[in-house]
Amino acid sequence: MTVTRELALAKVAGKRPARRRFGPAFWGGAGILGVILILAGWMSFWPMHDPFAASGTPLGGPSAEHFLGTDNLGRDTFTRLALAARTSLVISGAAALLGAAIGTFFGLIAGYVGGWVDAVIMRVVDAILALPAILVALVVGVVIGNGPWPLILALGLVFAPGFARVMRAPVIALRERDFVLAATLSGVRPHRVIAEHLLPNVLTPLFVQFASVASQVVLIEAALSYLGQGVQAPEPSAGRMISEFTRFMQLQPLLIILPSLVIILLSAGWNLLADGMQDYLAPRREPAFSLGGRSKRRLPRRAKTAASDSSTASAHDTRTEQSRTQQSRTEKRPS
Amino acid sequence: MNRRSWAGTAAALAVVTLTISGCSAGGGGDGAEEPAGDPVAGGTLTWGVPAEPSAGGIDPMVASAIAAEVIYSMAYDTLLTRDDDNKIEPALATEYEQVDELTWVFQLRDDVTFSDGTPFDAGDVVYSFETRKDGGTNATYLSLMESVEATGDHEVTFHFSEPDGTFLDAVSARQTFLIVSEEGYGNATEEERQTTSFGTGAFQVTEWNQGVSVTMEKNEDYWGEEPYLDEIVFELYPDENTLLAAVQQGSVQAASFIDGSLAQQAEQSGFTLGDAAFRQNLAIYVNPEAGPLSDVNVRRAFSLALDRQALVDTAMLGNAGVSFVPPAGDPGATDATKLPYHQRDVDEAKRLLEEAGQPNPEITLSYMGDVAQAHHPVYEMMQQQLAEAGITLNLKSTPLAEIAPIFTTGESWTDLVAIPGSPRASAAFYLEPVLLEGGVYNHWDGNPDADKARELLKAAKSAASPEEYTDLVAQLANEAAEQALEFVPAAVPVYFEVWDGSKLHDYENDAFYSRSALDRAWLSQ
Repeated sequence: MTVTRELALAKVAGKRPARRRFGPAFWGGAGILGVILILAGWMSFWPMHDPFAASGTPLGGPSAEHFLGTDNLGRDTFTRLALAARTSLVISGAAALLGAAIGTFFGLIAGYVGGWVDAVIMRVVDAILALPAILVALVVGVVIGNGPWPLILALGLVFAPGFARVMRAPVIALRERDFVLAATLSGVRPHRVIAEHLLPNVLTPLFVQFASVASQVVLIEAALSYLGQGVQAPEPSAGRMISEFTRFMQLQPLLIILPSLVIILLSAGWNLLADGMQDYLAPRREPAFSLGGRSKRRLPRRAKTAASDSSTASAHDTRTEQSRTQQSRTEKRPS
Repeated sequence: MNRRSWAGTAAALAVVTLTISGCSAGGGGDGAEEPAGDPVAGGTLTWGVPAEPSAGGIDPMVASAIAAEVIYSMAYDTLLTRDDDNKIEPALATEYEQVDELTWVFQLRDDVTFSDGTPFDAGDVVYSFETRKDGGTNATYLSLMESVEATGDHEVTFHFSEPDGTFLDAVSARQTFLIVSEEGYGNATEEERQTTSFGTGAFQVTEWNQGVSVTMEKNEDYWGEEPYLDEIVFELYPDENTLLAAVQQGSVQAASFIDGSLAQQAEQSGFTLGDAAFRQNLAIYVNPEAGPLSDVNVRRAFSLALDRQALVDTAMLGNAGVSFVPPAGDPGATDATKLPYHQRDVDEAKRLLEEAGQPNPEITLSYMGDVAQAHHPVYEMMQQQLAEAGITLNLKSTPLAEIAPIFTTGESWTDLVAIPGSPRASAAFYLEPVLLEGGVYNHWDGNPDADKARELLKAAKSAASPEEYTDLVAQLANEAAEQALEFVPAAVPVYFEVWDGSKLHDYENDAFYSRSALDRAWLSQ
């Protein structure tokens, strides 16, 4: 059973829920990641040039054959950048997925079981949250070696506590709700309650946290590769490209501008996706993401329609209903 | 943001990108040098360096880092020295004679004073050699020296247990057997020895501001012609890109680069780029105790699969030389292209691998991932070349701190480890740590593949004449290549030196990176 806050509140308010749409943030993020994914897939299966062998003169500029030029070993920059983006995308997605799986598991347990189990799990979470992610990744690299998989493992573990914390809070609120109590009282076993009744209702923060963590992983992977401890040669990596090609900054500046842009785009893509999903799944009064000031031409029209703006009204109602729900929950607790 | 704003932002980004990419190198000076005129005394030369002395500071008996060598070789002198044509010249000794196979006698200058004011005599030479033999750096170079004695105020006699074929090379190398003041150095604390100098050189270290600069001042008591420069300040720029910026801004009048491509960019900015000798091997040491490299045919196939000229031309952008042991720029070097298994032959490499029963061996190469980035393309390109012969080379980027125990305490490694080697005083010394007992890179004890090379090395060290020594060193290089006991993809200069020819005059770098020409160089006022 899936009960979203909005559906419930709309029902209380006697209204049909407004049809929601993905905003520009979501489409911006999904678009960036989609384009990168398509280019990376294209270059993985049908590369224009061998990404690991020289196909032109070293440090060549953009040309018809190599439209982003070549690196110091004469390898095609576009092909290698596409593969670097793929590597970064895979690492960020996989590390976030691993973190989400572990964090969600412990978050659900902590939130649902409560008591000392909750206390123990959350203290461990607090301890791990105190560790800097890049330091943990460096240590894991030293102990079990460098490369994509150790990196995914290290970052997945480091970011899992964040997921656990994000999952625990809504589960604590949900476990007292009628539908959960009803399921429990009718003899549904705890693991089914968690899997079928609680998990589907906490997916909103999970998705948002997933994209947000993926964005951070992109930056950490780039930093580690810059330090020579991330993805190893000959696999291309945007961070390592920046590190290696700084020495050619004056001879061929594109060699460090382009990988920098890849990192920026990947990180921004995940961040925009997180924001877009946040706006879609749990709309706020003011969008978290704005590309600029409101268009002056649109202001009067908005002003005219302000009174009938359903989203504003529903948001207002939401707050009212939230306080009501909280009141009733507080009242219910002693019983 | 509306569509128009998006388009505007994209256009602006494109303009910025294109503008930056259009501003490629070539923005430096024109490199034209005006007539220098007569030398002028005075002035401070600022020299940018990428590294400063590390363990042992600038103590010539303890420190072995190249960054220390280039400084203490200016502050201290040796008994003999060499010119760029490898001809022996007098320094603190005026004459030398090999009385018999086991005895050398040196006549010393009698007009030399140390920077602390004490006069130089035979006692200082005896003290310096005994201190070095008793646990100083390169003490192994004196393993055959039985004793050294003062046979006059300005005469010393060396006695050897066996003929030493390397002694003349070592005693005339500019960074090896430096002479210290028995009184000044002997009575100084460890800290004083590591931060100041007690030598007879033209410039003495007066201040070392760690992490910032090393200052050398003119030695007023210098026994040679009085230097023109008052002071030389070596400013530290750990990031060579920053050093290049300092060169282009004119913050330094000279600089040393490890990265040849950056030195070339400095040259494009109007600086003079010295013609440096390739005296540093990008050595790759073998651990044959386990894995595919225990088979000599796999090692030979590895060597045959490498296209060394392509590594030099592409990976090092021409800033290197094809080399084996000793390095291509070393006086005792043999022509590496003529050594066994040093001309690329992929088919033969595949045949050897088949013969070894390992058509697709997997080999791990550890290299310093956090330093010497200019060398990394060599390893990547080797990986491509070896793949064509069916050899998978796994590159393992390892921090310097993790690799350091290999060359400090002799810790083991897997398959291959790449450690750029320091220049050594004599040709036989390069394979000492690989072949002789106790050598930090020695994993060949008990391995018959290295027996002949070991015997040749011992014979070379005990050679009775320079001709015999040269012949044995050549045989040793041939045998080491035949058995593929070590791999050398290329040799590079220790430093690429650049200087502003319009400000610093009469300076030329030397094959021994000792900057000895600073003794006579002068600055425009």
